[in-house]
Amino acid sequence: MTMSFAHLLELQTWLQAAISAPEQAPLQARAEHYLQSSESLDAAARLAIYQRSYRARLLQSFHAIFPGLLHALGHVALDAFALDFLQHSPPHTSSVNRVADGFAEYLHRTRPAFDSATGPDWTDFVIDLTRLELALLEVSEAAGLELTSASVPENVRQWSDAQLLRCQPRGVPCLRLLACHYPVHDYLRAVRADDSPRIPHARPTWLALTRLHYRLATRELAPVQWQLLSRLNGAITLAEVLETVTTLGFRPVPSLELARIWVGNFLVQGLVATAAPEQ
Amino acid sequence: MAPAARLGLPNLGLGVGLRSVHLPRLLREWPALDWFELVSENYLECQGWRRHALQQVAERYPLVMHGVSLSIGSSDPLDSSYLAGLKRLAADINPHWVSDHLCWTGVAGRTTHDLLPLPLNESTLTHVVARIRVVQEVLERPLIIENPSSYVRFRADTMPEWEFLARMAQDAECGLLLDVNNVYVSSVNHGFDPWRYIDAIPAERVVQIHLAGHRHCGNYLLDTHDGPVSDPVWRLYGHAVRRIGPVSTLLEWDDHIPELDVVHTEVLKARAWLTRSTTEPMPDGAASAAQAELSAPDAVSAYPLLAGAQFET
Repeated sequence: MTMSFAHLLELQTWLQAAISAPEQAPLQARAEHYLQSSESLDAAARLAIYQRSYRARLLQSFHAIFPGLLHALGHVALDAFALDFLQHSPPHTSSVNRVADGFAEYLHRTRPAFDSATGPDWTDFVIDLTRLELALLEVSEAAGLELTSASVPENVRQWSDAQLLRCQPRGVPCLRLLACHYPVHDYLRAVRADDSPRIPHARPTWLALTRLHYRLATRELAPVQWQLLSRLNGAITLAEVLETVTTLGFRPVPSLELARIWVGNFLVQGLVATAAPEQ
Repeated sequence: MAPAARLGLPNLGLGVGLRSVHLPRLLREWPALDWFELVSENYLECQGWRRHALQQVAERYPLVMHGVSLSIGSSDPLDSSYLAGLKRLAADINPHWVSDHLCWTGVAGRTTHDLLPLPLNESTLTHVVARIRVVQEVLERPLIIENPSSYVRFRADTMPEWEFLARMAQDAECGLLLDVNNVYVSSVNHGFDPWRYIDAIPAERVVQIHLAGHRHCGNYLLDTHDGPVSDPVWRLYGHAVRRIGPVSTLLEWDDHIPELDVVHTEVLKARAWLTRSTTEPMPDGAASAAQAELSAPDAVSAYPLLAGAQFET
């Protein structure tokens, strides 16, 4: 490493830290060492322009990614959570859409102590909503089926039982599955419709998110359907999946005829693509 | 041998920044418009509707890719996966050129999502030139580098920005994207003569000009891209095109974005300045007269930092 490169590295390391952690006095005290003052602004005041810009840009991104959370928490609380998260998980990717990657895990990790026996609480609602909004962002950006031709549901109805059991459907690349404590999808829909919703009552909610013809879609499934869909990975047969899901004890028991209807519906709804069975 | 004007790249006319909020109407109406500049990062990882829309826009309008994350001045290694993504996107949409900024965005694997200034000295110049050459090798096309707006200067600076840019462009054999608004914002913030800056830029390497709005924040200007172009910036643009000649000109509008018609109408104001630049030769002393306008009482009240500003000699 040359001396000049070492100086550049030192300066950039300091400036990045000073911009992202304005509360750390030792970092701010170095401003005069690195920066010139102007006629009207001293070094600290010039540094503060970048500090405000950094904070504003990232918070603006959080507001754009989380309209539901913004409604539920308000600016002050969301910004406080976001800034604390960013302090521990600063951005690493070139896409500003990904500044909140890991935010749901952060909220879960730092949640207040709770008693699981009393059931889900407000914190669970916030975490569920965070996961939903991040998942929707992923669905909107991921590869979809728009440029491919999926099997049509009529095919599934025409398959023999043996063919159906041998088929190996797989979730589409933009499929995201969420098991929530609250019906946060209804809450978010109401926020988007400007209905000023209140926090709903807790209810186990099984969601499948996908994109169909470039439109985002959220489906609420029965637990047994969700369990079945989550195991359709294209590598194992429907027979194997049914055997596993049956052991979980959900109702209705996933018979072959129910599975035929569900897989057909999953296809229509853009949740799975099938690997057609051998004839 | 001197490079061809604009590095042989075409004059695309008057364009606007491609913004997601305009895409639905754009895809419905296909308005008559010279060209668009897209922010590369908005499309690198997207395989959804936005990317689909971009492909349709690319079939109907000339496009240019403008990046904000190359981080050409960072002490981190160049991000090879980012470069590979840029190259793939360029292969898909066939832009006339690819640009980014003279800046760094982060170190130690982090990004601030900001265009941070570099110390302007010999060692930074060597560092940046070497990296531009690598990027041009990877992308197999000239890179076009934009002057950023800035709010700090470093004690390690040993040369003005215009000298850095001119030497960088020559040594790296790259093009320049001259952001006239950034020149003006930085000139107020640092107290230099924006006319002198424009005069020092190697005209034959300027491939594109940026225009944008800025905001007055008391004792400094902020490059906000949230409104129309200010009168001082238009005058500086007039001076730039008089010196450089007709060149692709683009308006950036990124906050409080109005309808596409409004953005387009704003950039079309450049026509008058382009006409003047070709029909009215600048008389001797015109540059200093235009500069004097900035120091006139009305301008001083709008931008108090200019009052008593010391211009670099």
